[in-house]
Amino acid sequence: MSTHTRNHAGFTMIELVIVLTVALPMVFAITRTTTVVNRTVDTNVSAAETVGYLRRASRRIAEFVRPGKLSTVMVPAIKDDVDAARATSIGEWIAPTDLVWRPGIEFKSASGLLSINASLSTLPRRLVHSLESGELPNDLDDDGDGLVDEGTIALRENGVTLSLIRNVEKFSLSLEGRLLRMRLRIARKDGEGRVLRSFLEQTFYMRNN
Amino acid sequence: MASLFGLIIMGAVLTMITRQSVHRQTNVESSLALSAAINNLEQIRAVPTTGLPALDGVGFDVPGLNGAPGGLPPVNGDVDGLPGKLTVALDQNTGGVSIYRVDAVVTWDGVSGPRQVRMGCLIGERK
Repeated sequence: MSTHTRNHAGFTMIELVIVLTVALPMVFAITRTTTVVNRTVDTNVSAAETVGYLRRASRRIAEFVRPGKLSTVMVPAIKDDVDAARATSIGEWIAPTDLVWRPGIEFKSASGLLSINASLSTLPRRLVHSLESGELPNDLDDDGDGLVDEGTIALRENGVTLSLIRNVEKFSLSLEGRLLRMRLRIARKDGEGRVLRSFLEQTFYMRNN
Repeated sequence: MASLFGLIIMGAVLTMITRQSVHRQTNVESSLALSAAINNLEQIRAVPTTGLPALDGVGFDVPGLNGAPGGLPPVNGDVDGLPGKLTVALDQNTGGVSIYRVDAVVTWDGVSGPRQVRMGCLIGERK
């Protein structure tokens, strides 16, 4: 016959309560901090992506605008043009006036097919801010998606429309001699639905007459 | 012991958050500086070649994210109070043709200390 001596030693309730009192707030704090870190990292990544997207968009427009011929530039009329009798209606394509911000531009470019023949031109190219359906140009979020007057920058040439840049809230251009100034605002949503905006004012020198 | 360990982890995590934010802000600052430098170089292309030397040492501002002036603070001791500066130097002069080296330099007092962005190009008369 054998006798078993069992060891009943363990944690007392008081010990468990003390451990939990110390451990639970720490676990909570670490969880909370981890959440904050994740959000911060997500925000930083999204913000960096938005800035990068804006810079790529600017470069894309520059590729079209720089070889543009200044003498062929046309711009859409705004209310001031109608008031000054330079146009009969808003949106009519007219010759540009310096230092006026407008929502688009049309020009012919040196074609680039023959580098020694600068007079060879493309068909007229038109860059315009085309609003999404449900949006009106009124500085309001008409479709309730958090973005204001969003749309795309569209390139129209020879009856074909290409969407160059998406999520554009503002696109305006102003001429001063050969210098074409562009204001561009991009807005994007991150994974949690927060809207991140980035603005750029860029100047392009139009090379050709 | 566990508390100490937890505190160390929390400290490390908080430091990481701070560093992330500083990194993000530094990226934004660099982007503003680059944009301003590119803009100034583009504007200089519209200046007649004979007028380029007069631009040597001229300062320029760096607009902020919304286009407002004063986007970046100059470093302490900056003479004109503008973070940007143009330098123009004669690079080549052959057969009556002058080519200038133009640099747009932005030096600012950023969140991660003094920083500088420099962009340069060669400009000559277009034929």
